[in-house]
Amino acid sequence: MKLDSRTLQLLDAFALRTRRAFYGARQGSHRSQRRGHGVEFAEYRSYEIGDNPRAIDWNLYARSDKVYVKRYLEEETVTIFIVLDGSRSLTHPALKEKWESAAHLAMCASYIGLASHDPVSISILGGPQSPVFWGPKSFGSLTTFLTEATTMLVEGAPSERSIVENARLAATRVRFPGICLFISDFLYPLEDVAAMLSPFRARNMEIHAIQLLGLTDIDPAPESDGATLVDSETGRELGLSLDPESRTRYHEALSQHTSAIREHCLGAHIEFVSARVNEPLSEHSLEILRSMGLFV
Amino acid sequence: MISLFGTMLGALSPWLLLGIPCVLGFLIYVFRKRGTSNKTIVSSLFLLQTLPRKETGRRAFVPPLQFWLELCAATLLILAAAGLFTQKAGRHIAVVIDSSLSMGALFDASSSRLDQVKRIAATDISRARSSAAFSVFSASTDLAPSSGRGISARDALSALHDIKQSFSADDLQSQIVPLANDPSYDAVWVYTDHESPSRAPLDKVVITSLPIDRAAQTNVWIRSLRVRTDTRGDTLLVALGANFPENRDASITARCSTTSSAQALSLPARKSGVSAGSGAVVSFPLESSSWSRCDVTVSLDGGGDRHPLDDRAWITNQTERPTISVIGSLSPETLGLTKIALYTFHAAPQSDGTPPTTGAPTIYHRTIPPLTPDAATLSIAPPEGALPWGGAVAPRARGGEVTKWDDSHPLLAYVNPTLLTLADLRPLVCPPSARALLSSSAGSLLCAGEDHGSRYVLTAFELFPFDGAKSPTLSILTLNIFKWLFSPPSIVPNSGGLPSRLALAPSITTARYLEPKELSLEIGNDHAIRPLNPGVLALTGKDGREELLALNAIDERESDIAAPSAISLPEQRPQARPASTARTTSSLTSLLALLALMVLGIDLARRAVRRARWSDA
Repeated sequence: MKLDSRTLQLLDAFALRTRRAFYGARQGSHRSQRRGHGVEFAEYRSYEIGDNPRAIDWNLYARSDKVYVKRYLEEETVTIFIVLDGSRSLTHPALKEKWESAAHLAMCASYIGLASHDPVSISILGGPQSPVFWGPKSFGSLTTFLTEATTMLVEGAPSERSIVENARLAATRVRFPGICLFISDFLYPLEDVAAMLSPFRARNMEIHAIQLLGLTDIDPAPESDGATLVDSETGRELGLSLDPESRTRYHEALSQHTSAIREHCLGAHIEFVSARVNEPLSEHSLEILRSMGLFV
Repeated sequence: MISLFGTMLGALSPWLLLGIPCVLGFLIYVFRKRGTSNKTIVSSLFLLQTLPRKETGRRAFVPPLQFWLELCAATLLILAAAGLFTQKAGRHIAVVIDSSLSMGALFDASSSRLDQVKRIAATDISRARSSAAFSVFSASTDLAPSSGRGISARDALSALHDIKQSFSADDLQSQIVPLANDPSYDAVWVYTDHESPSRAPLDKVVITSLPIDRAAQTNVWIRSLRVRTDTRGDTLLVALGANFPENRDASITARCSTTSSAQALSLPARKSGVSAGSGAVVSFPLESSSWSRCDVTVSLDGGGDRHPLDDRAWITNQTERPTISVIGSLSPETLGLTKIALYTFHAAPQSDGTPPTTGAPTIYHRTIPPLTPDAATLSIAPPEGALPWGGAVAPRARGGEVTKWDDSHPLLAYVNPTLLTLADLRPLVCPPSARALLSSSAGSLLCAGEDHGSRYVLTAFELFPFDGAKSPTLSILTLNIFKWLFSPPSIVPNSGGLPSRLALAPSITTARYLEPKELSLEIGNDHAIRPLNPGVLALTGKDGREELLALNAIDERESDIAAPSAISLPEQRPQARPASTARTTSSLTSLLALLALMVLGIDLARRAVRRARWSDA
């Protein structure tokens, strides 16, 4: 599981753009909420004993006879927290195209972040959690992590916890608020979707939710007018009539569900993008990254 | 085979058609089963569970479009594999037009018998069903196709129009039988001036005989031309024949040239009374001995000669006697051949039996040629075994009586076969191209035929030594044989008519007609020419020397146009199975396979459009 050289070349042109300022762990290239020694003026503050006299704005003192110090915005790193839905609905061997697309998208976003020296962390719901990766040289380690995680998820047993519980657990690893990239198919009840995203909202993350839908999600059993469908997560079987009328009804239900998620995200200030899994993966991932508005 | 809108439909492997209901049943099973046992993994059922469930009970099978496309493609492939073909339901009719010399006789004031049979045949063809196919033949010495096989009525009418008058005798009796036995023909229509047999022995042969008033078919013809050389010089002898009982006057004119290119000099015309009972011989003294060729014409005084084609003949001056090779253990002297003054004989080496010169007439005495000869051949009492013309020689038999003979052949002219005493016989099975002229209980005794334009005679008994009057019957038979086989051009043969093929000596380089008009002839790859009509040929050798050859269409049977001659056909052999006809068939395999590919293409396109619609959705 790796990115080809052409994709890497195209990703080099991308940069991370946040909507707001975050506290970072280190000096970086993004606006921080911290006041420090950046170049962008933030505010004036009354002089306090111990302040650096060089920070005193003497022009203001001359005008006001009061001593103020200038405070600047600090430029720090932004943590990119990638949450991947590692449930069977993405990792089942019959649905592996979705997981491959999700992992490819995560790698592309990680590469952009690591290239600008922002820390990247990957949390797979129902799967392993990665360390924090720093700098471009750690991209290889990130790729290795994803490859091993893929093997573990595909061949291993599914998580016994629910997706909501796994999301809560993942949110506890957040140390610094930053960017949260939540990649899933979101084929859960709306309340579960809300419950998955709320722990990250509570940590003041700038959340970008990406819904990936595969072929069977759009058109299950396209060549038959009736089929026995098996839930990849629960194993439950359901014999359904899939005549044209039933298919139309399903498409409407899916569309309504996606719209409901979009509405919820809009209200929660979460960016939401819905995409179909498509080949080739690199073009598909770049398209999603552009449509997110997070990477420019 | 089944008939569908006038076309027969059949299959080479009809048992494969059983695959169609099998495929139908299989597809119904597959499409009904689709989705019942197939389990499809989906991400989540939480949206799908709102849809109506599958009916568990029996439900009506409503085949989707996919089912019909797959059924159509499978059916087309099965039909192609079964070798479906169509066949025209019409009959295949062989049309045989007698174009022999006698057909040149007048039928009415303005048309010949040939014209009349063509008209009748054209009417019959036009009246035939539109689905009928025809093969047109013209019958004279050979049965020659005048058209392709299985052509339409329109093309058959065009082929009829192109049939030309021939100048030789017909052999319809032996030519009809193979056509009748050919299972590819449903009917054989024969148009001739022969009389129909009293009963039709062959079911599918229909013989249309011209209604001829035999009593009115008066004809006078030149029977033979000969030059007699004695102390008084050369005399041209013209023998006439006639078929009317009363004595009538005929005028005979002769024009002779002294050199090949000089203008012809007309000799004083002669008159002669002629009747069927007594043929006449008219003589013309030839004043110059350096004459090269003569053109003789006979006409009936007062008109009424209904056959103009046999009223003219030619003769050239042949000063050398023909040389005949003799191959055998005995010399020509021992065989008594030197007593026959008209020819020169020389013994040829017996090593391989091949005649010393291609095109040289040869006598094989108690031996047979290894290959089919290219010249006139007489084989006397050949040894047991196969013959190069076909047929065979049976083991020796003791003498026998002649029990059957065909006295219409010139070989048996003036011969009483019952007087023949035959001690030692080697019975023959006559080759297909020969007629059995004498037969005994042991087999055929005398066969005469023509193979690729070269005549041949086979005898089952000894002819030699030739001793003339001491054994008159045998001697007459021998002279008849020689005359028929080896006649020099100056003695015009009186049977068979114009040869269809004339082999030339290797030294001959060009051939052209001098009479009736100048015309070049093409020498074929077999170094032979196909004469078009009677006349005088000039054959030029490599040394530039020119030899003149007279070709005449003289045949007693063909000239006696009043004599009824019925066609005698053998009884029909019972057929072991119904005659299956090789009709015009068209295979549909390629078309069906192409259609199947088109259906599969439509199915693939449909699936691709469906996928594109999904990805664009």
